[in-house]
This record gives sequence, structure tokens and C-alpha cells, in this order.
Amino acid sequence: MKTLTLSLISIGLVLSLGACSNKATVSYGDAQEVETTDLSFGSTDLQTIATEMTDSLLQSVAVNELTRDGRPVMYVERIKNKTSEHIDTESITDSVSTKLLRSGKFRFVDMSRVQDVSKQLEFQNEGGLVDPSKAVQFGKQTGAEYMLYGNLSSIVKSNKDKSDVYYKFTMRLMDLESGIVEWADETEIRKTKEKQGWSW
Amino acid sequence: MKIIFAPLVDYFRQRRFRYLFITSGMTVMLVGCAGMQLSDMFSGYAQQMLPVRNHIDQGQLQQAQSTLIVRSKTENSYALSQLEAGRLAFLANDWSSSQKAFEQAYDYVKTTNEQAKIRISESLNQAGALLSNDNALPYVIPAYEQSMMHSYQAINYLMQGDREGALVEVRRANIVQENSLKQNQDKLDEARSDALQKADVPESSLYSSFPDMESTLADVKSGFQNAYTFYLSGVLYEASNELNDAYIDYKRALEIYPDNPVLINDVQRLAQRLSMQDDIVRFNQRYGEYQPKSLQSNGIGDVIVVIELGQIMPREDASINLPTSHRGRLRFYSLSLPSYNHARQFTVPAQVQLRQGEQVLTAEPLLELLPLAKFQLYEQMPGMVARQVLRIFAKEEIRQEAARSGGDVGNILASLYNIASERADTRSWLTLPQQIQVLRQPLGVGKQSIEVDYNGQQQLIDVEVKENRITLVKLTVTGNYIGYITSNL
Repeated sequence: MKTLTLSLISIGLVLSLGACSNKATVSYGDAQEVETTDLSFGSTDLQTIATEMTDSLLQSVAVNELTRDGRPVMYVERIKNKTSEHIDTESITDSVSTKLLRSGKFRFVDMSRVQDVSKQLEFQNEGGLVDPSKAVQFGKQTGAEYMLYGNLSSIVKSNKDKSDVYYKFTMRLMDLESGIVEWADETEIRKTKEKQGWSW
Repeated sequence: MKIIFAPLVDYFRQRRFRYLFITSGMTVMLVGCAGMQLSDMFSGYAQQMLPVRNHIDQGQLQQAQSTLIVRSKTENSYALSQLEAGRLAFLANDWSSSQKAFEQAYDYVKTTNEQAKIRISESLNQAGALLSNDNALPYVIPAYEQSMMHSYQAINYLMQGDREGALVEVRRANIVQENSLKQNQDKLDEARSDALQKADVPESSLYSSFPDMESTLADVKSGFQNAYTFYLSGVLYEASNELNDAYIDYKRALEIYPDNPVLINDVQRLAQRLSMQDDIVRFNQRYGEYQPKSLQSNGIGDVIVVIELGQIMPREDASINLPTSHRGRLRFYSLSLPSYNHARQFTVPAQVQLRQGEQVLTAEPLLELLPLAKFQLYEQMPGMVARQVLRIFAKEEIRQEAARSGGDVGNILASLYNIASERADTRSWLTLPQQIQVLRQPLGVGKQSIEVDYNGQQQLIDVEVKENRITLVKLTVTGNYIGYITSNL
């Protein structure tokens, strides 16, 4: 009986020690691959949002009209994060603006770098180090005609068996002169996680 | 005196003793894998935290931080130690460290929430708890501590200039509070139907014919929901000009503290601003017409002072050792369960008075943490008692086995181990305040001085009030320590 108890304890110990130690591995994967590590906002969500939004924008009738006679200048206002996760929304705006730039239909001004630009211009014009004839002049930049902005919101629900998260991403394009919203669209993402029955 | 070791050496030679030795070795290893420090086995958490709490009362925050026992990720009090570390860094105005610590605790909560329904390692922990005490179980962060954690985290983000991050934390806190409301809905329903039966009125005329109802429900709610977190969330929404969200959270806070004049004023103010006609009528009936705190609309900004008072009461270890004699052999049955029995030792914190010019303002309580902690203990109790009963049997088994293989020495050793290892689970977040009070007053734009008076101690706080903006002052008062931060939202 005692031997049985002892062997049971030993088996338990071996199993628990086995659970405590495991090896880490590093490998490269496809950046476009569907990622389902957990429920939180991930790369696939970001890619889905960026692709669907730019496709919708570029295919819309209104935008085709706007871009017929040239490449309008726009800027991306930051995307408002209304979810319960700390999401780097700048990364979403970066993806969207990169895709739009690649399409060749729009030109962009980058509002997130205004301070750096003005510092550089100050250095060139007032620092005394740069040849005034070669310095980039103040007051020559182009103003944006359109503003792209949006919201990312989420609803999170969970019970003891599963968790569910729903993301809604809304984006709009506004004509800065007239204030008219020329285009708007939204993307929805739903992810559900069923809890494992058992594990270590 | 001469001590003869020979019999002991003989014991070591005996094979029977080796079993005892191996068994105790196994126990220690089991506990080791379950993630306890040896000190946890023989001294309670509340006791370990005493020096840290004393340092806070003396305002020695650096010492408090260095006294805190650091726990590794594999230890079962890891999440708790992150909460304590986060709070201490917060008190020391080290926002980024505090943020990191709370993030670790949040990750832990997230991982445990997503874990499988049945976990084998969990059963091993349970086994460890049966052989030692409940401290061998991983610490589960209760809802009220989670909501406090998110509130501190919101301020961490705010102080680092990230208001959107602060709002994310506020939403997380609200998810926690909504879940605890869902879990405790039956208690609210019970309180409602109890009150209905007593009052003998139909549900439809509930609030008008039975004004006590709101306070009855508020009493139940204050056991699992936290008005401070709702209020903070309302303030942050208001500062972001999301008035509808702010209104909802102020109202939720008012449901928990229906008599707090600050909340009443805020709810009535926003109800007017958002033209919530039905609500305006309802609130006017209950609280009287809305009285604006200032008739000016230009050249003023709201100053909100949040005061954290005292330190939360720790759980106590209520242990009983029952000596019994069985066939001439002495044996001990020891029981230990945590309790909040000596609440009387904790006096209600003194009133905090603020002077601004000629006005003397008194802060109003917004959160009492002890009821939340007590409610949590009450929820845990059935499980604790069940494990305690099983533990008596398990430990008695060990003692018998030790007595069989080790004779008297084995018996005594096992009995001593059983008594010494019997420790109530006194773990809870112990660097939290005891009470939070709030005060809100519109002041003229520009530099203003507020004088705080607490138990004869005075502190002058200079704030820069900006037009139509909220200036948040967070004051911590405990023991001999007064600390504050200010922020323009």
C-alpha cells in the first residue's frame, strides 16, 4: 500500500515537473497568415480592416469622380480607439494611407510629422548653417483638401464556456472645404473563443 | 545538559524513517512546484505585509517598495505582488513602473479567464493546499481589486498624457463591474423581492411608494460594485466631451451612493445639459430642483479632489488548535480561517476639509473598500470551509502514517508540521486605501490654492484652473503621510 502511495506521488511529481519545463522555439512565418493566438486585436484584424477599407474607398463612385481630374491631397486624422484594448491605431492609419498612396490616386500630407518638419525648416532658415538659397522656404506646403477619419469600437462578452469579441471599424472621407462626407464605410469582425475542456 | 543523538541516528538508519523523510520531502517539493515560498507556509500574508504598510504610513515610499517581497511568475501570489508593486509605484508617482506592474496583473487575469475549464495543474495545487494551507492556491484577483487596478491604471495613462489609454482602462473596469453585476444579479433580485414583500406594494409603484428601496439596493450593490471607478470613468468621459457616457457612469455611481451630494449634483447637471426629461423629473422629485454650484458660465473650471484615506484592513488569521488525546497519544487538530472580525480597531478616517478663499468644503465618501473585501471573503468562505475539513483529514492521515513509520518522533514532527503549516489565506491587496472621498467645486480660472486639513495636518495645494476644463487633484492621506498629484484633464 505504502509503495503504491509513493509511486503515485512520484508519478504526480514527474508529471508536474514535466509541465513546469518546456522548450522555446523561434521560427519565421508568413506575415499574411491568419493569426488566431488569442481574442485580442491582432495582425489579421489590422490587415482585414486596412484592405477592406482601401478597396471600398478606391472602388466607390464618389472617389472615382474626385480623382478623375488629378490626385487630391488628403490627410489621415487619427483613428479613435473606443475599444477596451490598447490598440496602436496609428498602425491602422499607416496601413490605410500606404495602400492609398500605392494606388496612385491620392497624395498625402502627414500631420503626425508637422512638428518635426517645422523644426527642420526653422533649422534651415534660422539656424545660420544652411545656405539661404538652398534652404526650403516657409509657407510653400500644400494644404490637404480631404480628411480621412474613423472610429474603432468593440463589444466584449464572455461566460464560463466562451468569449466573444466584436469589432466595428468606421471610416469617413470629408471634403474640408464644403464639410461634405464624400464616402463612408464600415468593417465588422467577430471572433469567438470556446474554452478548452481540459489542460495542464 | 547533555543531549544524546544516538537514538536519532538509529532512527535515520531505520528504513521506516526513510519513508517519513521521503514523504515530507515530497510535500515540500509539491508545495515548491505549486509556487509557494517557504515563508508563505508558516507566516500569513497580512503579517508579511505589515512592514510595507508601516512604511506607507510614515510616507517612506522607497523603503516600502524595497521591503515588498518580490515574487516570480511561477509563484501563486505573483499577480497579487504585482498589484502591490503597481500601487506602491503609483504612490511614488512612478507612472510607467506602476503601469507595467498592473499590466502583468491584467495579463494574469486574462490568462486565467481564458484557461480551460478543467486544469490538471489546478488539481495539483489543490492537493498542495490540502497538505499545507490555502496559500498554496494561486491568487485569484477578485472583481473589486480588478476595478481598482484599472482605475489606477487609468490615472497612470492620464499622467503620461495618454487620455485614450486612460479611457481604455475605464472601459475595462466597466466590463469587470458589469460582469460582477451579472454574477450577483440574483442577490439584487432577492433584496428587491424581500423589500417588496415587507412593503407589500406592486413592482410598478416601487420607487415612489418605497423610497428606502434605492438605499436597500445600494447597500447590496456596494458589496460588489465600486462607485469610485464609475465616477472616475464619468469624469474622464466628461473631460473628453463624451457627455452621454459620462452621464451613464455618474448615474451608476449614484445607484451605489444615492445620498452623495457630489454625485447628485453631477447627475442633475448632466441630465439638464442632455435634456433627459424623465430623469430630470425623477431626480427633482427625489433630490429637489437642481442647484448649480456656480452661476457663472465663463471664466471657471471644475476642480475635482479625490482623497484616498487610510489603508484597507487586512484579513485576520483566526486559528484554533484543539488538543485531543487518543489512546494516550496527544494530537492536535488545527483550524484556521481568515476573518474581518476586528473591524472595530479601524476607526473611520477623519473628515478632510478643504479651504479655498473663504469657503470651507467637506469631502464626501465615494467608496468604502472594506464591504467589498468582506463580500469577497463571504463568497470564498464555502470553498475555504470545505477545504479546511478535507485538510483535517489529510493531515491526520499524514500524522498517522508518520506515527506508524516514525513512532513518537514522527508523530510529534507531523503534529508540529500540521499546526505550523495551518495558516489562513489572508491574501488580499493590502496597499489599497480604506476609503475614497470626493469633492467637486468650480473655481475661477488661473492659479488657485487649496488648503487641506486632515487630523490637524495642513497641506497647501496649488492648482492651475483652466477654463471649462476639469482639474483633477488626487490626494493620498494615511498615517502621517500626505501626498498629492494634479492634472488638467
